[in-house]
Amino acid sequence: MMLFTMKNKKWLKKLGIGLLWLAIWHLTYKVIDRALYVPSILSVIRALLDLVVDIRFWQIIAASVYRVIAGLFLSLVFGVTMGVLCGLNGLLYDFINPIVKAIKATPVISFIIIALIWFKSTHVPIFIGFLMCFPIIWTNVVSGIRNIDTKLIEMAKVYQLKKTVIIKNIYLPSIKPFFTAGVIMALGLGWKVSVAAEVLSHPQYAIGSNLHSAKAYLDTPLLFAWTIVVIILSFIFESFFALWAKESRKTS
Amino acid sequence: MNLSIKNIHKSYGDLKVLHDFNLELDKNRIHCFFGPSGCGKTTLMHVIAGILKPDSGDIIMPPDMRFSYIFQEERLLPWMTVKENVALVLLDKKDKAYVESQVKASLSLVELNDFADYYPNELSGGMRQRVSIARAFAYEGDVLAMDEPFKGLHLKLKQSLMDAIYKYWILHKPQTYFITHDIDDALYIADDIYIFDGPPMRIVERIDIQVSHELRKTNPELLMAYKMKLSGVL
Repeated sequence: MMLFTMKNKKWLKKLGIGLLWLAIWHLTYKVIDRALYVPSILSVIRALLDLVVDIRFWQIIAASVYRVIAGLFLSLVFGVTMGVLCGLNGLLYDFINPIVKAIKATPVISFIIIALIWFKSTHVPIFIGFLMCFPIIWTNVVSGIRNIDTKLIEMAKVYQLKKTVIIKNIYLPSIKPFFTAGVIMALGLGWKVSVAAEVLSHPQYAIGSNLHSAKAYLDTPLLFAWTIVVIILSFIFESFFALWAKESRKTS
Repeated sequence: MNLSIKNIHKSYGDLKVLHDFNLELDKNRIHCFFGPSGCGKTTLMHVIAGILKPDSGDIIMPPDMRFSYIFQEERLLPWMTVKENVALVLLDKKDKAYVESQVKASLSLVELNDFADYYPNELSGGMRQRVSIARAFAYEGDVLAMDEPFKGLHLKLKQSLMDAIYKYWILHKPQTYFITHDIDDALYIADDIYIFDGPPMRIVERIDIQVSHELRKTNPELLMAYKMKLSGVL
């Protein structure tokens, strides 16, 4: 009972904060008094409702989700492989590190422009998602490897544990928190950069393409509505991953 | 076959920890390495166990010797329960029933059966160290190597653990090497006490304790002469 009321209280607080922000939005809308700059809440909700009843909306979402997942998947595969290798081999790390640093410092728009030249429009966001998330995964996996307690490895060797046993029981659990943190960061960033890439590359089905046309027609409520869609999708991705991370902690 | 340490050299930078070090150790006795901290005891133990490669020299012992090693720190995997930590060193054993009974038996030697399903961070430091002792027992190595295993434990617990170790020793007769700089620990369990000095490490004296283990407990006054001697060294 106690727990229930505590949970309830937490929810009430969250709800209250949400409502407060909506009120601030509404107030801003009233004060600015120009729907082009700040649309009303109602008009955004209406735009959102118009979207979700259209079958095309779901095709667009599916296409964008596919691109984000593809970009993330590539960054995970390369990030983990390279991260493990670089974590174990200092020379390889020194070789890869400058390029990762350069990628991190380069404005994403530069990559988008060059990718527009290199790839088909639908593949540009995948490439950008991969390129932006790879350094995060890589950096985290390297730190994870370096964080492994060498004393535990020493113990494992004295007790003549097999390589596979050491990897499964010492390496992987040590890397996991770093990996999880990296993936959560990458999920958020992946959505942002791949939608940005879509805005410029105009694939036929893409959230970004629709953001672009909303801007072209000065349809601010639609712009807001699509943005909210991206935020919600990004949240859903993060929650699914957080759930997975929690489940696998329980079973291991 | 005894263990012989022949002409071992080991340096860290300019610091010569082991310099032409030689020692012959009878496999049937409990050997205690006694000396001030930093004199090279742990390095010697690491070289014996193969954790460290000596710069030169040989350790002569039968091939495929298995080491039950109790480190100064517990070295437990934080994501595994007590039970799993102990079973870890038996993972290559196919016989699950054997593993289970082995884990149970070792945990009961250190009186931790009730905590089998706890995680290391839920235990006190002393309990964690007992888990690492249980792990060494479960492995049943040909050698039992202990590097200050009782550091930071209170006297009563220490004695019951030493009794457990002695019980284990009687049962399995592993070659036993025990590092300490506690006089009472050394006198409670050792057959031979090597007093070291260094670095570079050298043997100051070897003391052969000729009081039976049973008597040491009941008649501690028999150890008085040894105790005086050891205190004089420090």
